[in-house]
Amino acid sequence: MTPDSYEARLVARFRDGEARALETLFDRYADRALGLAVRLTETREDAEEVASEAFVLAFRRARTLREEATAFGPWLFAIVRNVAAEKRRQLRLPTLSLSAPIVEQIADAGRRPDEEAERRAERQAMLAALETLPEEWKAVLTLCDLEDVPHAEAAVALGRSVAATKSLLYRARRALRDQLLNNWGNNDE
Amino acid sequence: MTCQDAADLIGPYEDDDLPEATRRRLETHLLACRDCAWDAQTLRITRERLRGDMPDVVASDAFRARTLARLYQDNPHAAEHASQTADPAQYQLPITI
Repeated sequence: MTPDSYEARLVARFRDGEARALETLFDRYADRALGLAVRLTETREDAEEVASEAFVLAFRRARTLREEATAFGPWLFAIVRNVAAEKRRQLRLPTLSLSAPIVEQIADAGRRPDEEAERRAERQAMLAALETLPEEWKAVLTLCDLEDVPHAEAAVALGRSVAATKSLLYRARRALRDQLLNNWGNNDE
Repeated sequence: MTCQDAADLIGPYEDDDLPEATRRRLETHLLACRDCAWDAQTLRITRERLRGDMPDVVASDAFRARTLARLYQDNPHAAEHASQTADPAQYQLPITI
């Protein structure tokens, strides 16, 4: 049985009301969904809120989808990205914010605060540029680069051939690079 | 190799997805062409920065419990079955040692 067909069966069993299917799907993706959310938000608290909300939305979608589900993970990752983007918009996050607990965490991790601030600012610029791209480009970058999903698995999730998925990924990376350079040029003026 | 050929190959090159001979031809071109070398380098940086250097994250028990509680609240059809399957006795073999 391929992982996709296994997941499709889990989704079907969840729809039939099997609690264990829900918990198995949750367990398979809890760490990865939260990891993605951590990369897309400012604090662990925000990341947990985003990941939790994404799970609720993903299971709602799994419950109501009429067609056979193929892969639960890629849906979930796309939803995590959307919920995180919405959260950033709501909070209108500043480029960087160093509260005392975060400074302590940085000290614990052996990083200098100015290095950490720079890393966070860079991260924010990257995520802001990502959000300007068309949905399909954001989707392929989220799957292949942010979440490191294999090309073949991403292709199934995107409904494309592997070759078309790679081609889309390369175009999307180029567009993200150009957007970053464009934003950087505008900030520099 | 033309710059257009190189542009088409830089994506798979950065993903280590080129045959050896093609990779070598591209690298020869990149050594000779500053524009294509810049293209390759900036795309590599973009990919690396997007991936980030975050360590693996492990969801805490508290997060798992909180989220599962939300999921059962939002999916009462599964929650009903959860209460039926929660009894560990049903998974025990009817034997004593």
